[in-house]
Amino acid sequence: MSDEPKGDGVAQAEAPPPSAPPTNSSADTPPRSIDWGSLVPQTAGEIVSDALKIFVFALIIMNAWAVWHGCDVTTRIMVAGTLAGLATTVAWKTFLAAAEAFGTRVVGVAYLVGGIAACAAVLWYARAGESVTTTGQLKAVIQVLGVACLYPAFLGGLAIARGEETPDVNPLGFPLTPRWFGTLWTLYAKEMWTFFTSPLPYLIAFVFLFVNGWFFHLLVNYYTRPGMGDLPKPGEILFMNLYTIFVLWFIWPGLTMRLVAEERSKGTLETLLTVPVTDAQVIFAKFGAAMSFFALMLLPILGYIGFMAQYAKDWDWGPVYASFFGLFLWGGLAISIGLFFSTLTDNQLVAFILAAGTNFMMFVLSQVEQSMKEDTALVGGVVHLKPLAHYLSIHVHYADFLKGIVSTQSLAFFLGFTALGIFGSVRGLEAQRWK
Amino acid sequence: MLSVRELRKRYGDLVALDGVSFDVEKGDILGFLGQNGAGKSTTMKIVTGFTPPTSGTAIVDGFDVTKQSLEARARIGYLPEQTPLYTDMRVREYLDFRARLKGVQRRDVKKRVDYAIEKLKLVDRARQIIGTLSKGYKQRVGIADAIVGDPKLLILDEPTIGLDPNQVREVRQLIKELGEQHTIVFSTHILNEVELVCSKVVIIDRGRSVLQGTIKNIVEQHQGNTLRCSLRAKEATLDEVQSALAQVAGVKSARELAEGSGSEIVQFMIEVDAETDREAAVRAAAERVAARVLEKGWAIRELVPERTTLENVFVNLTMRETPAAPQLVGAGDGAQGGN
Repeated sequence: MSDEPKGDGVAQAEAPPPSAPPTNSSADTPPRSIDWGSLVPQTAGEIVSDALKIFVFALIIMNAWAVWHGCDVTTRIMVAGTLAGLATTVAWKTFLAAAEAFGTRVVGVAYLVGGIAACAAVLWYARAGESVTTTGQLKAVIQVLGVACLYPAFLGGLAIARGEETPDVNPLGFPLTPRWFGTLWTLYAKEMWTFFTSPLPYLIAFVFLFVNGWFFHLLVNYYTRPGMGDLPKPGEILFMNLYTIFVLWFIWPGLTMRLVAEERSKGTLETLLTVPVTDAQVIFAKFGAAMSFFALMLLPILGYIGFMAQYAKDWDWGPVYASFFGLFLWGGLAISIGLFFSTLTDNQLVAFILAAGTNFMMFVLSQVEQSMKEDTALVGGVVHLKPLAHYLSIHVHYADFLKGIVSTQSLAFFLGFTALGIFGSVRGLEAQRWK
Repeated sequence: MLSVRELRKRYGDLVALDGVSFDVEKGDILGFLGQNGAGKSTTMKIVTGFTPPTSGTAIVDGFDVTKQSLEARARIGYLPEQTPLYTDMRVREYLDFRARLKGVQRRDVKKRVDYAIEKLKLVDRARQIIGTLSKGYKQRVGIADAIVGDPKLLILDEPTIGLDPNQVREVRQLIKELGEQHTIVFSTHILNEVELVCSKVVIIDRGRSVLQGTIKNIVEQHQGNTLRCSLRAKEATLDEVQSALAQVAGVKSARELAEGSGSEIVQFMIEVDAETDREAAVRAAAERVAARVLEKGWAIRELVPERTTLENVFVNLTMRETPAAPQLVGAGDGAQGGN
């Protein structure tokens, strides 16, 4: 029946479950060698897809690295992170190719063992610290390998736990054909339509604009009193006031809680996921629609800025652009996390509380970080808490943007965690299928 | 068109499917029968690519639903149980959106949506918001959604549940009509429906497929070897009649069924010894029983072979404590012969 060489071999290469007789094995025999050619991207779509994989992995790894070392994303971390991203992508593709040949579980065990061993090596070097006379380059290489093995190890563990016969589908790989984008656009248009035809997003936008407008009113009142001097930095006024931030903690989850949870509770997820669309398309469309709505919500702030630019002395547009950009990035991070929580449950309220709680925890972290002692550490002095908390504190990164600084480390932080959130959402949606 | 092999599905410790296999040929209307909780919906969710199976394969038009999911899904129109719809969209908007998602060419979208709307008699509801439609109309929108992509295979999960008798009749008629263009698999637990609409049936019980074939073949296959005899015996006691009947050549046993109206009329179920040619054996036994009754000077009121219905077969199969695995083989052979 199947004229496709892929797949069918895998099912039979598997140690068969006790009850399944080894039937119809005459047609195809499992290919016992790895098809190395499949590692090299062939079409333009595959090349873009692989480049994206490397990029996303690199971002995630850079972040993990910075967190681990308790420092900012330095040039060295960026280089090493990119290398690790490349290595991870290769490891992943090798995993898929090997799983085709030898069965997911067998290869899964190998990767799990390899991954754990490599991670142990990383840990050992981190513990040894400066006392070991190893060159920095060698350490870096080993760390790259260690990190690269983490995801396949995770895949292997997953395969063993589920007892799947087929290799995991590639959640980030997509063909990038016109048809693919056409379907994405259809999904996106539908999500946007839902945003503009439901009452809740309007209510949310109203609250946001009202709070902002009220705050702007107070601000103008305050600074136009005689003897108050010039207006302070515009970015800090409009974007760093606690009112705006506080409201946004609840606005982001409000926008995202419905996205998947509602479809699941109404059962429409079943009709949605049984048409020829990939899980990634669904997530991208939902994420894009929420981002678009958020961006539209920010637009009226331009009015206040125009007003201030009119009356302020020494007006500097740089911080304004940067602040807008920063808030947009922060929104992307919060929306991807909210979307992730929405894929985990069919209860919108639960999704809302989890997402809002996460936002609140991030705020608490940034407050705690300021009062933390320099040498607070865990795991025998390996993990330094203060720099860790400093790196994870969104407010620290966001403050850069307010000053008009767009630093690579903040970019890496926001984009990396956003990628992680979207990746988690795709995985979360996929996990829904198993329930 | 659809070939399902040894599907198994476990949710933690709960075994939902424990080996479901069946085939659907092009042009079939297949009734998928089972008690509530037998695994009908789970099987359909796997075949439509919504849920992956724990093991086993389902192949739609040459495409494996787990390995070539998108290709397989492009060939299926699916109506899930409970008919989930976006209730805040208008009928035409919804069908338009669905047609695009299913990969209908842009220039054909309007044509396909028009066709589905007309076919389901939704023309005067096309601009109505789905949430305000009655249950029957919602069901039609669901079926319109299933056919809008012009799929080769239609999978309908309990399409008539919750409808009033007239609507049920309409939906059945519609399924028959659609059967001319699509291959259809639909699940139900209403047996009458299957006999009216389907050409073939698959019966599953506790997660196993226990029987498949054409209805005619299945009923014939499960035809019992009993005769129902009701007779008027004036002076004889029940025991006398019973022993007289039991002594007829070829009769295994005779069992009194119920006393007829007036104490003179008695009914017996006569089980015939039929090893090889059941049909002929039953007929021959009937002749001998008649002769014996006449010889005794009693009057025959009725003497007929007991007819089995699909319902009897279903009840027999699904009420049994252990699912009857050997039946699968016998009935499967019969089904192929019948086709």
